[in-house]
Amino acid sequence: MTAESTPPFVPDFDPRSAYPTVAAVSAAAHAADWPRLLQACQSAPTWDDLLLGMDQVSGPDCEGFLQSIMADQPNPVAATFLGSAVIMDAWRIRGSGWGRTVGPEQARQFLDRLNQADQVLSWACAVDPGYLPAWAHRLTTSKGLSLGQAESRRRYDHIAQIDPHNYYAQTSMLSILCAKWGGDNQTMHQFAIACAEAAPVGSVNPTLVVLAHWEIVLEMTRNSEMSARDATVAHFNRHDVRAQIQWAAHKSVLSSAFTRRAHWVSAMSAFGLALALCGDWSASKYCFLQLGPYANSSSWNYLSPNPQAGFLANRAQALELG
Amino acid sequence: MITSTYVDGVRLLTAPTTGQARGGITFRVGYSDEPFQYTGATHLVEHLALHHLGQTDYHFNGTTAPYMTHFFSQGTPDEVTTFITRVCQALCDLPLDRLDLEKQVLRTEADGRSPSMGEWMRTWRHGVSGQLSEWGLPGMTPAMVADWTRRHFTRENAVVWFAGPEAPPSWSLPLPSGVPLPMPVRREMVDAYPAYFSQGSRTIGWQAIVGRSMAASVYSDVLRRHMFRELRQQHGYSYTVDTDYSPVDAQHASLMCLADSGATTTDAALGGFIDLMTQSRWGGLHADDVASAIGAARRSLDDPDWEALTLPSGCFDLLTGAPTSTREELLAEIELIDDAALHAVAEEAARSALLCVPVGLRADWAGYALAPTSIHGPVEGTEVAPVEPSTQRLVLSAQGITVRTPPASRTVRFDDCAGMLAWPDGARRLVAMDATTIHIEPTLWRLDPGVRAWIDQSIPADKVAWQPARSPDAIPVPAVETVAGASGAGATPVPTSGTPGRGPGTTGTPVAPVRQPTVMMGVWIFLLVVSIVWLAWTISGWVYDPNAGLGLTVLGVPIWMATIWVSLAYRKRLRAWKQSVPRKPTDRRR
Repeated sequence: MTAESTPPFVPDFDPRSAYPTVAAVSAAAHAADWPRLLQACQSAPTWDDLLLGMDQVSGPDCEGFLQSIMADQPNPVAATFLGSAVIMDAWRIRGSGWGRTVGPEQARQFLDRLNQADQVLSWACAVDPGYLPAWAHRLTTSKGLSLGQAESRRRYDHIAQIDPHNYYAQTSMLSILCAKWGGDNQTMHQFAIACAEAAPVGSVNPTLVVLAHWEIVLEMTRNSEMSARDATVAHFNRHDVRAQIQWAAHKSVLSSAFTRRAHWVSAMSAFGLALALCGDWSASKYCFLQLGPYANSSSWNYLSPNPQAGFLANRAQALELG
Repeated sequence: MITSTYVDGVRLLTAPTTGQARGGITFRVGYSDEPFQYTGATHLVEHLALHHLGQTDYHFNGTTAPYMTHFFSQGTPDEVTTFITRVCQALCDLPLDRLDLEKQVLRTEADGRSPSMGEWMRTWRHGVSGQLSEWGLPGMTPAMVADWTRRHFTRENAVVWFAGPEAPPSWSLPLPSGVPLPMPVRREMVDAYPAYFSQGSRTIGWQAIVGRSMAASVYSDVLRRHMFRELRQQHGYSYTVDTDYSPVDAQHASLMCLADSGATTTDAALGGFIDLMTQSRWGGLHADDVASAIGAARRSLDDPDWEALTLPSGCFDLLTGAPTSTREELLAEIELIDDAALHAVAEEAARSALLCVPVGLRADWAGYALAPTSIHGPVEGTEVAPVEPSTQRLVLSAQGITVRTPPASRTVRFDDCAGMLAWPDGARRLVAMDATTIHIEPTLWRLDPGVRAWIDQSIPADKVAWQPARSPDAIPVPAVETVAGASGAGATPVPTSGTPGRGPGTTGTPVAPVRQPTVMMGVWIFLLVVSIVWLAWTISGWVYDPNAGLGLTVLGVPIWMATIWVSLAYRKRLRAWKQSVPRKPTDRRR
């Protein structure tokens, strides 16, 4: 008699699986089908859904397709998709390391691409000042081009007027406010708390608190001998940090009002890890179970060179201890 | 109704007005017309012409602009006409005895004046001709002032205007006859628009050159309203926002926008400003702004004083050859202004837009190309090193001079040189037509004495403006100097590959480097040790064997003599070196 073994859990990290808008936008763009792409954009329930979809549209083929649309029938939607694709290409050229790891030629190409992106995006903003996705991408260009903290804040303020709880823009702004991009971590932390406090109960926005703590950990390891794991354990074991993570989790993923809208997989995954690091294994287990087959490994980027493996390890640990 | 007549051969524009009379005389000459040695002449003439008026009970003033010199007065009709007559009389007989005093007044005025955004724009756009420079003043003789006045302050080159309750009484305008001065050809120094440059700390400026039209004037007002709302009222990035529409010649006008910014929000003010300009070009204009601006333009034409108010600009039009328009023609032009017409102006403006961003900020991200600081590339030739250790090099060539400060460089080519400032102590400053300057202090470069003569020969004498002698403490000294200093040791010869007659050829043979004090100290210590050892040996020789002592003494004399000589030389050089070492910062204040 052979024991019936459970098939291994294979998480689905593809955002197209969790979000219908992302799937529709990605499919239409890669099929170079402009009417279908426009339809998918118009069907997006929120700006955040659409922005998640735009993140899936990049590469030379997509760029070529969007440029042809801009040549034939220039419009803010195509301009924003094009700007987003160019930004992704710029970051592909740059890489994700610290500034000191970027060579001069890489830096030149990176800035050239971002200049192109910002120009096409600013055209979209001029033609339709209320088109939030274009402004949201201009936060990324502002960061990469080092246009200044006040300029980034101006762009964010414009977004906040259109949608005060746009998570995509808030994560970009959080990154801009970090010390590594010319800001300071105290302001960044305060921004995360303010966004979380202002957000409705059950929204994804309190996840910003978790992201803020990860940025603080990252800064701790930047110029010290401390390993990422030691810094993480030391930071998340602090009483005040645990209290803040718990508060944020209860306002977001642990709230009964939590709904599966855009970014819910990222939020649930981020809290799953953060709560585990705070020692709240049962809440962590709840988050991992709520995810079902879906997963987002971006929080594990801080911890491991193989974030997907890190996700699986932490999930297994939470299911066992929780 | 504007009436055009002549008084003593001078064109006169008159229009009725209520209240005080106003009037003036405008000459078609300004600082953009001045050759290098004459820079400052027009402003000087303006001052001298007004000197004898002293202090009056009525208001008067004079201004020197790039292309015009204007004398203006306000008072009773008699006071105004008398003012203009007396200005003309003064121009025929300037008080040249007070030339030096008036030069001093101009220097004081210049010391207190900051360049305006308009001057920055003109300089970046058109080079040195756009600059208000008064380099020629120190060397300006009474004959030069009289010559400049006689040539340009003439009746054919002037227009008088008068606005009063009644026609002006009979008067005389005793100006000599001459020829009208054509407008100078403006040379374009920026190769690609839209362009930007970095200057100043807080103010953002934007300028475009567009065709003269009511639509462009209205567009300027639309921009001002948009800027006020966006940059000041909604976000508080700026306190002062302003726009200006001013004709620059018969066909074109300058469209200028200015916005200041707070210390911590300069980047946001720039971003907001650029977005605003992009939106004005590509997006929709606010209907309220457009309606208000058109309304304001219409109301200005309805002003009963409109004709009197337009007299000064009428003088500008006559002197530049611009067509004049009646009130009805302008009203008809306003009626045609719609969004499409304003967008056409925005499109036209973008083709010549020049943006000034505060130092430390950029605008390449918005599609503005960096305006060139020097339109000519570097020349290749003999390299000269500075006295202080630096990567900077002066490159001397028959074509011109380059200052190379890697990765940048500035070049003044002799065939495109506006002129040169020369100081009696040997300092020279070359000024290119594109306003690039290269200042050469002989104390700071390892120059052969022949280089100065070679530079002087490369610049025609009529392009050299001599400056007053400087006090010794005004002459810079290098922070670190070798013993040789600027006396020629280690100097670089002048280029010998130049065209015949340009360079002095073979002067300035390189001299072997002079020993540093540290090298000399080594030699001195070595000789001292040898001398002492030899002396001890000689003394012991005398004690034990007088014959050996005598031999050692004979051989020792040259060694001791050499030691004494080196000691004296070293002492002298050590003293010179101590004098040349950097002084404390507090000692360097002047």
